[in-house]
Amino acid sequence: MMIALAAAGLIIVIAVIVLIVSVAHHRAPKQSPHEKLEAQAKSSAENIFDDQFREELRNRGRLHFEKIIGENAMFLQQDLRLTTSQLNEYMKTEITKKLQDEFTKYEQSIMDAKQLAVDSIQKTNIVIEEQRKTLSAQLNSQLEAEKAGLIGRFEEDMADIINHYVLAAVGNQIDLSDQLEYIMGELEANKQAMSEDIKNGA
Amino acid sequence: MAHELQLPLSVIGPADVVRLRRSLEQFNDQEQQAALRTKSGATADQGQAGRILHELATANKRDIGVATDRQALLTELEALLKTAPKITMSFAVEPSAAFMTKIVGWFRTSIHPMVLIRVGLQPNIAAGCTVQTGGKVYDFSLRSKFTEQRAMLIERLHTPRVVAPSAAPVTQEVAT
Repeated sequence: MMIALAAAGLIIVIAVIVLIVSVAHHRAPKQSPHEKLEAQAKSSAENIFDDQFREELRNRGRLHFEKIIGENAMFLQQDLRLTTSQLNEYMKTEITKKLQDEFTKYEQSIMDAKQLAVDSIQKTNIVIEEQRKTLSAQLNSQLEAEKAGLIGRFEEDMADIINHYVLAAVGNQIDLSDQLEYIMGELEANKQAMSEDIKNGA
Repeated sequence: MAHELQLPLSVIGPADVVRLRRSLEQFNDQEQQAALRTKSGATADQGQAGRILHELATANKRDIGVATDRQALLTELEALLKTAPKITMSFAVEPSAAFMTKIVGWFRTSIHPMVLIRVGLQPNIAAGCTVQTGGKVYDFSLRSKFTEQRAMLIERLHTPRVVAPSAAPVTQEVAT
C-alpha cells in the first residue's frame, strides 16, 4: 500500500516538472535559435522560476500532494476498514470454527465420559444384580437349611416336646389308678419276655 | 428254701423284706428278754411291723411265738433277699399301697412268686411306667408311646389343616 502511494507521488512530481518545462518553452523570446534559446532560458529561468513562482508551485504541489495524500488516505482508510472488516470476519469465522471444534471435542469428551459412566454403572448394576442373586440364593439355602434343621430337631424331639407339654399341662391331674388297666395290659403283653428275662437273670 | 416261702402282697420290695427281717429279729430279741425276765411267757409288743410279720407267719403257717418258727422265717427271709428276682418299677408319681398290691399280685402270679419290686419315681415319664428286669428295660410310659407314634404325629403335622365350614345357626321351630 505504501509503495503504491510513493509511486503515485513520484508520477505526480514528474508530471509537474514536465508541465513547467513546457510552459517555459512556450514563453521564451525568438532570437537566433541557439542564443535565443540560451537567453530565453536564462531570462525565463530567472523570471519564471522566481520565488513567487516557486512558492506557487510549491503550494500547488503541496496542495496536490495533500489532495493525493488525502485521497489515498481515504482509500487507505477504506482499505483499512475493509481489511479490518475482513479481518474481523476472518477472526470471527476462525474463532467460531475453533470454538465449534473445541465445543465438538468437548461435547465428544463429555459424551465419551458419559458413555464411560453409563457403561460403568451398567457393569456395576450387573455385578450388584449377580451379587444380589448369589446372596439371595445363599440366604434361601441357609434359610432352608435352618428350617429343615429346626423341623428335623422338632420332629426328632417331638415325643419329648409333647410329653413335656402334656406333663406341664395335665401332669398333676393324671391319676395312677386310672392307668392301672393300661399298665396291666402292657405287662400282660410283655409277660413272656419278662418271665424269660427274670429266669435268665436268676 | 426261699421258694417255699409265701410272701404276702403287702411285702413289695427288698426294703420291706429287710424291715420285716429287722422286725422279726427285734421281736425275737424281745421274746428272749421277756422270757428271761418274767419266765411267764408274756409276749412282746409287735408294733406296726408286727402286722405284716403276722401276715407272713400266717401265710407260711408259722407261729412267731415259737422260737424255731421265728428262726426258720429269718432263714427264709435271708434266703429270699439273696435269691429272689428283683424288679424295678418307676412311675411319675408315688403309687398307692392298693395300686402296688395289684401290681405285685400280678407279678407274683404271672412272673415269679418270690419277685420283689423296687419302686422308683420318674416325673418326666408323665404317665405309665418303666419296668427294669435284670438288664432289660420295658418302657410303658407315655413318652415311649409318643416316640413310637412319632411318625403318625409328623404325618399329622404335615397334613394340611382343613377348616370346617362354619355351622349354620340352628333354628328351632316351636311346635304350636
